[in-house]
Amino acid sequence: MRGVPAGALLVACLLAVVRPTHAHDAPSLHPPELLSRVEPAYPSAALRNGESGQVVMLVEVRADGTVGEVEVVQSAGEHLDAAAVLAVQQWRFTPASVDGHAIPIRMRVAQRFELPTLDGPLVPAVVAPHQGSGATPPMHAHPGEPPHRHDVPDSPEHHHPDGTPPHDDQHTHTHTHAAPEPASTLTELVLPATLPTPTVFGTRVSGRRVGPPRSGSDFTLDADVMNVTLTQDGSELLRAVPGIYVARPDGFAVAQEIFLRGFDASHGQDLELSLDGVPINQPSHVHGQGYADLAFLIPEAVLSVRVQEGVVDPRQGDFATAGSAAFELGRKKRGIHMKLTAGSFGTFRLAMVGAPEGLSEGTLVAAQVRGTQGFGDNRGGLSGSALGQLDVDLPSGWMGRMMLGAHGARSNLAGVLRRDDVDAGRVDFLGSYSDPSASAQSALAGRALGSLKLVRPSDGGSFTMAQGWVQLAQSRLRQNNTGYTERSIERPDWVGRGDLNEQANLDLGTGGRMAHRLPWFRPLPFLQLAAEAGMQFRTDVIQQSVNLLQAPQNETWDRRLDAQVLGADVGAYVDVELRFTPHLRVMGGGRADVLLYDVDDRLGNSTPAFRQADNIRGYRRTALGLAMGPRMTLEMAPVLFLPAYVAYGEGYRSPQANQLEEGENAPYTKVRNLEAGLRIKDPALAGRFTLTATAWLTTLSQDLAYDPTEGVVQKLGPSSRRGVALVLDARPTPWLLAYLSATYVNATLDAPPPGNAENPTPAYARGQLLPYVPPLVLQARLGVNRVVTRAFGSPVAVRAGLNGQALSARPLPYRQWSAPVMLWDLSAGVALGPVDIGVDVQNLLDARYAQSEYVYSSDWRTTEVPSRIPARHTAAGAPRMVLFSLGVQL
Amino acid sequence: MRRVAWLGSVWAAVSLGASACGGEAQTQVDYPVRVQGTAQSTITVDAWTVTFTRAEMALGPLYLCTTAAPSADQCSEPLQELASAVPVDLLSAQPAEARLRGFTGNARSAQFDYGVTWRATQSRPTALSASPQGHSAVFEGRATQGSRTFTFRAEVDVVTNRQGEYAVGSYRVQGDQLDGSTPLTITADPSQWWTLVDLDELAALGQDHVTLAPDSRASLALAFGMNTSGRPRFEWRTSPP
Repeated sequence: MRGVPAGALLVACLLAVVRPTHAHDAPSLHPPELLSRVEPAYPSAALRNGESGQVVMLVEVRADGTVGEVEVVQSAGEHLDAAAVLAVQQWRFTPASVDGHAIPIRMRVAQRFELPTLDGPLVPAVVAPHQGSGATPPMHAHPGEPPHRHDVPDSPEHHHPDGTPPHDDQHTHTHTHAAPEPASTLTELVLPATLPTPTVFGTRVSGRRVGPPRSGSDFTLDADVMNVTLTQDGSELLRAVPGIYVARPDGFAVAQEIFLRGFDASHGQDLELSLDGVPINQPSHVHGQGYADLAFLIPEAVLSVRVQEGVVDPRQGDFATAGSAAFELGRKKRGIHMKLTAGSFGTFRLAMVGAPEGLSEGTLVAAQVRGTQGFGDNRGGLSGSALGQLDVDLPSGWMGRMMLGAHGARSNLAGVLRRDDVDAGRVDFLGSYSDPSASAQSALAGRALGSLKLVRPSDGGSFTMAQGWVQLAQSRLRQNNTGYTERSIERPDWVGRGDLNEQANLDLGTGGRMAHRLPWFRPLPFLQLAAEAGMQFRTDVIQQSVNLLQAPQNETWDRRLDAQVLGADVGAYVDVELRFTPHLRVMGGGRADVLLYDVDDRLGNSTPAFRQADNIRGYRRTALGLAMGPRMTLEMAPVLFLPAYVAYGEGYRSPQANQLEEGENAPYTKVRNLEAGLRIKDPALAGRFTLTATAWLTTLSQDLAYDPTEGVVQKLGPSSRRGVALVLDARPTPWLLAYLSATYVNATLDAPPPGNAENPTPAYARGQLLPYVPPLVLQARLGVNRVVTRAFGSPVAVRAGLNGQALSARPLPYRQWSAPVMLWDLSAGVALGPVDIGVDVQNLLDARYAQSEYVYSSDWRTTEVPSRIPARHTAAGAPRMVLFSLGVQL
Repeated sequence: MRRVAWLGSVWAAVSLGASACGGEAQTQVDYPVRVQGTAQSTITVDAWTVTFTRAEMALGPLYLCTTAAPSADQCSEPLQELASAVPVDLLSAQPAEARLRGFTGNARSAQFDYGVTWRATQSRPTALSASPQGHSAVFEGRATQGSRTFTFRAEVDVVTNRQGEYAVGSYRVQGDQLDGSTPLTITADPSQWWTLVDLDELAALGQDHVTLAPDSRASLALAFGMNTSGRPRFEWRTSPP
């Protein structure tokens, strides 16, 4: 079926079934031919209510080819009826004609909506399986939001190849696909009874179950939004999240840094990241709590990301302090896709995705390899990833999903530079210190994961789900942020050998989750109720060490940490949905997690060298904590296109295990999040414009801040964030997308940081801003993708994308501010049949900017007497890069 | 490009406005430090009268720390610093001036060198250019007790005995520097140092002129006075007492 445009097939179907009519009646009768169709989206309200059924409509096709009256003759409920009518009203035909005269005609269209079959934080999608090269790729796919139009090229090859009515074929096709799909609908177009033979053609529109929005900051980002411009790994997909700033200053093999909603989430400590239920964050990672490297994700294999900012959903677990982001693998375009990208600084990327025809959009295999020489000294890197996912049908209504993945990366690190050295010309902004200890900086990362998920959907939105996963994650990071300041603890006379700090972390994690959701029922005449109970658990066996190395031979000259951490997190939640009217809904419940730690700190109880004969070092300790809290959402919609949300949730962030003391109780960070939001959809334009406004207050009982001198996070004290955000999702036409957001956050420290011997009473001022977090973030994503002509028998589509991001000045310690940043990326390309060529320009204006900036003390031996006062250090962002790409879709 | 520049300017202005909210506990300061002696050219040591013709020293680098713990390891990020050495004429009433820079806060301890450093990255102690003739201090003068008299030249090197630390590793001070408006005055009193010198022993040498090398007992005694028993006095005040 590949290569046959969807529209072609539709028209072929029409003509095929009409053909007998021509044989028996007047040969001058010509049925209408479909020029363009709009795929109905599975309404989000219907998805979350578990509504399904078939909508049958009588559709008037006017003499000008537009759709006139639409009458629902068989209802499947308010939401499904509305979605079906909304879609078909936007279809366009060549009119039916008799003897060459256009006539109005009535047709019967049956639209079947099937319940989604996979659970969880799944996201909606639209698939047109017959969509071929002639169809404009769908630009968006939100349930209950703008439908999806597909232009249907008018060409002879649209006819069914064998001229037979494709009804059975289509049904077979649909069911073959539908089984592993979360949801699907079948559109049947039937010529009216006045015509002798009903015409049947099918398209398949699949939707994925997505839970109801829990707040105004509950977004589902589809591939169209995320891939407006070039994306090369999973972290770059996140750049579409409203209010986010994602940087990767340390190359391929070190996790990205994330700033979101006033949080310096560092390498992931404040953002719960998961891939189809498999957690990506690593607890108690030696380099940073919640360390989560998204480099293993292959953008072409990511279908969508559901981002819930704030703590609002009982399913959100550890690290969901700023929010959570759930990635979903899948690919709408089936077949094999290959893409080669190459350009500035020896950068290249080769990616492949295989999405078997006839299987669900979740079934795929993908691989990529990336490399670069880097835009400055010591920045080269190489990485490779492979992902696979298979959806299968199982007996007794069960469905299975197996996911496998592996990733490896190594990169050199340029490290950070003192700004005074850069300003004085002692080192280039894009360069690196020539010192051996700086040149020896590098990182290695590896990950392997596997997951098996079983789901049995039932009527009324009910389902039972179980999932188990295992993953092994390794990282070895050699960084020198401070130059030559360290003294050996093991041998106190050893000093000045370079602060090349090697952190190694090997985490074998296993976990799983189960959930059961009851079908909707009506305990009272005015109340519908659904409930879900679930559990999640994970255990981690973590080996971690920190050593100081002397370059260039990397001899160990001090040992700072050698520990084994056993950690467990067992959580359970209850989630209830109460639907009083279509305009009032209450959602929420509670969640409790038990956190368990057993730390074997082999270098603990370190004693002075002269006393080391008195005992054997080591400090074994255990700790347990219980985190509990409610998550509630009130959704009010005085009119259906104007839902308003008020949400409150309490979440937690697990502690860094190697900072625990014996018997500590409940050492987690408590997060409280209060949020109000309003979502405005334009009903007259079928929801093609969605404006979301939110305001929130988030407090943390104990915040963490990255300490670049040690390369770890340190306790900072309680903090709060007050923010507002505006998000506009505009898709005025099927080929144009605009996604704009503005976020302002006032992030403050609410009490003095904990004192220590070095600084017993840290300075504090009321309203003190949290460092490194940009208060204002503006984002703009514009995308165009349209078939403009035909050449060599194939459609020619052009695409262009512009991604802009502006960060306000970021507060730094000591009342200093980083410079504001404005970045633009541009993408353009043209597709001819299966071939796509493009060019991408990153950092279009060649802005000279710091990806990250810190203030601390260092000594790089660049002056006679180096300053020990905390100084600004920067990690340079990439200059303008031009990348060319060649893609082939087979 | 003009439009791009205009856009950048607008964004910088918006950014500045957005960033205006919020307080900050510590701000940068850059304020004077005055280093002086007692300007006494004649002192009495036991029964000896010592008259200096030259008394010079270097002070610095100097670091002020928030820690009160008597440990050199507890000051990884000083509050304020003088990242150089300043030459001081201990006989002059005019103090040597330099500037401390850093951040506001409460200084509870200090660590400093007398112009000779042995940083972690130096293989051996090294004199800074401000040090008098490559030493921490140089004294020249005459000692007299009755009929006994001799001239002397003392070269003093005050050096840490541990690489990567300071001659004075941790010295309790107390000074709140809230806005950089209060200068620091450091007063060194050579008479305290010279009380540790056994002048009778030097006189017993029977020489008219005695040259005291840095490793001589007398110079080591002076060094002990400078880094231990007779450390300079640190005062934050706006005018002389």
